Amino acid sequence: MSDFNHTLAFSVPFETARQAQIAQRALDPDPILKPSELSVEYSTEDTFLKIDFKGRSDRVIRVAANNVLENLKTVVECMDEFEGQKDVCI
Amino acid sequence: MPATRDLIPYAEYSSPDLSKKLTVDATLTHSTNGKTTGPSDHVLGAGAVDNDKPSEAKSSRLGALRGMLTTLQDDVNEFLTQRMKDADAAHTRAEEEADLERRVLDDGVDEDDED
Repeated sequence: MSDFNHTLAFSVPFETARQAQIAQRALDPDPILKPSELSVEYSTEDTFLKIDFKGRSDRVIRVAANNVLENLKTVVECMDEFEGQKDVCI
Repeated sequence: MPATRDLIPYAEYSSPDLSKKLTVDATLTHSTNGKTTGPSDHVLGAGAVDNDKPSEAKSSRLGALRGMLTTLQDDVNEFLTQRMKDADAAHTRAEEEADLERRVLDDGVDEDDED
């Protein structure tokens, strides 16, 4: 939208392109609470995850970016803990 | 810079009046315990226990990335909070100036007062 004149673009490198794609697919389904005030787009470029926020104000971008980063940290932690491990039935 | 700290995130902000790049210093160690996330010091001081406290970063590349993302999140939060405060202050100032101008131009006379 044209009045979304505040933007914040994150560039987050991963070890592999696959990790960046997993992060994108994990974050993308989260619905945007105020689509009339904000848009969020996820994409990948090689090993980089790109997150683009466009919004009407600093306030809506701050709330959304903080939430997405909180989720992203959980995604990274899960990869760090579990990637490369075989499933174990207990 | 340690070899595990080579995954360095950054953010680029832009608005009609400002563009800014927010980066993380990879030569420093970054905690996963953010300044702008989790319970406030006031709540913790009152005896609350933070059950959602993040685990420490592992000494891996992704562990270092998680620490740097926490610092970037803090920086973005502080930067945007300051921008919001500045905008609020500018708005208040503009209203006060408009009010002063109106009172000066009206010379203190209320237009509705016709006696």
